[in-house]
Amino acid sequence: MIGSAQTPPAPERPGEKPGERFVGRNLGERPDERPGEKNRGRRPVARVLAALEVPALVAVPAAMVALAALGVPAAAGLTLAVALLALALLLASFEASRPALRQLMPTAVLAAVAAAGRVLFSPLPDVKPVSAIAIVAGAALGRRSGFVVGAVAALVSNLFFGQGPWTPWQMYAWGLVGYVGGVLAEHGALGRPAVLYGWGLASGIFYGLILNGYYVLGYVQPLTWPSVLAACAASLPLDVTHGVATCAFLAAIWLPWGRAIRRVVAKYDL
Amino acid sequence: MSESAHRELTGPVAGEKNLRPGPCVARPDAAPARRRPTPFETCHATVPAVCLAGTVALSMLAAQPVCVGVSLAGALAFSLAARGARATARGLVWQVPMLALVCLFNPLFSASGSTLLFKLGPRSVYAESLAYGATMGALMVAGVLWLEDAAAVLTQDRLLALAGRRMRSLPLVVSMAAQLAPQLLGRAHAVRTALDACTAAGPRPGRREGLVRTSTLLMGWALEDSLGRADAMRARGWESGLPRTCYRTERLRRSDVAALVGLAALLALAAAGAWVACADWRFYPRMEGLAPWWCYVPLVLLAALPTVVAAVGRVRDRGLS
Repeated sequence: MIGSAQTPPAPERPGEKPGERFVGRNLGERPDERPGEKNRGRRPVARVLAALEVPALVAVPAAMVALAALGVPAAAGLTLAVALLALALLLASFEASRPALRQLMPTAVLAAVAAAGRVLFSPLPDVKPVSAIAIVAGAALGRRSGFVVGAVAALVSNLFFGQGPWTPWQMYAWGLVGYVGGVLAEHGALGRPAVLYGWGLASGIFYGLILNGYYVLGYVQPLTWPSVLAACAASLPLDVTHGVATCAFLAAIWLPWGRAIRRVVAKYDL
Repeated sequence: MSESAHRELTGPVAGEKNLRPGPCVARPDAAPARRRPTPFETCHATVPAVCLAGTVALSMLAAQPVCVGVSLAGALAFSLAARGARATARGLVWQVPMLALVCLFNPLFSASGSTLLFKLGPRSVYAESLAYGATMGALMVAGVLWLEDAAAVLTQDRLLALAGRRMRSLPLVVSMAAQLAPQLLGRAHAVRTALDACTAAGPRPGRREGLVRTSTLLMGWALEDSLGRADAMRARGWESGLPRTCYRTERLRRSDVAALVGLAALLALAAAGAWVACADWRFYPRMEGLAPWWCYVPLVLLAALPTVVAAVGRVRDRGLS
């Protein structure tokens, strides 16, 4: 549990797995704060935006399926508009939550580390640490920060690779990976390796589905089931590679990064 | 020895090369480089933002060959004017193959049409299917070019000025992450060099352990730095609860408002024209339904507007010098 380490850090209990102490409470959240108290003092705009987060995230794949079912031709612009709206809503919700400065800085750092990691691993196709870092950020900083880390990492790393119509989709997909990571951590599920690595593997395939979906919907016509399946089958090996790489990154960084973050938490008495 | 003289002898400091792509020492004997004037620099950042965002949005929504061709031509012309021929050519090196890939993927994934061109194994390639792929490839390249043009016009400080005073968290996170990413790439080199130099600490770790160790050290270093920076910002009044004053380098003048109204009118006309053009157009089973020429006139004006502004700015710049 990231915030549970005080100064001096509490020793691990004999039956406790090391990974379990990484998740649970968010940075900047008071230890005596009860879960229900978080929303009580918030402004109405922030509450409305927070309530719209999940519908906005679900709206993107729902709109994609609806446009495909209705056979709307050349839906590149329409799907992009829905993705941009969902992104704007989630980012506005983050802004309205008025995160503390000491939570903003780690968010920026983890986004920059994820972007730099993507650049460093760019010679290996589909081996990217962005999903793993977004999940770690979601677990350590909360679901909104997890979303922002994934989204900003996509935006910043594309300064190196080139921006394009794919940027909002990558921002949405990686943001969602971090958001779900945060939700799972809030429920204490990421302490179980099966859930952690399961979401790591699924995130790669989910990311591929979103990116394939935007391409097939917007740029392939006439849209038929064989064409959708052909596009998905063509990218399946790459998506599985992405998922496996995310699991490998999670296995590599979950404990060391948890220790490093706990050390900083203890050193600066966060 | 002065710092600049030392750098001239030794080159950039380790880890600094990603931060400073250009030469760091100005040669006194060299003629002063002529700065390329940035288009739209005399007006408020909202004007180029609305112009370029509107053009990109319209390009993405109007998937019709003539509309896409107009948008692509406008984006290319503005790229040549704002970024120069070399930067445009560097981008086209990967953008043209991308266009070709998107063009070929459509007939491979979804064969349809009435004019059979050839057979590629079991797949039939039709002219209509290929034309749709080419249109969408050109649409994608036009979108990329407009975004590159926007990045050349809307520098980071102008984007921050656009964010407004009410938004404070997101601009901070984005601008910090954009500055930290190249710094981290430089620091990764510094961490690896330091770890390689520590030969007395025992056997060298394997490749995987080395990468994990480097990334963990990098993350911890950056995290500690960021918390120090947060405290420094708080010491300077951030999060104090008092209203913050802000020095604005740009002010919205009457001429900017007039330009925005004109742009909105042109965007509305171009959208109406694109709507008519797209409503009549069909790719399948046969390409038909080309709208009359006047439908495209507002779109042509909109796509050419940034290049015209850039050309006028350059003529003014040369006239003054």
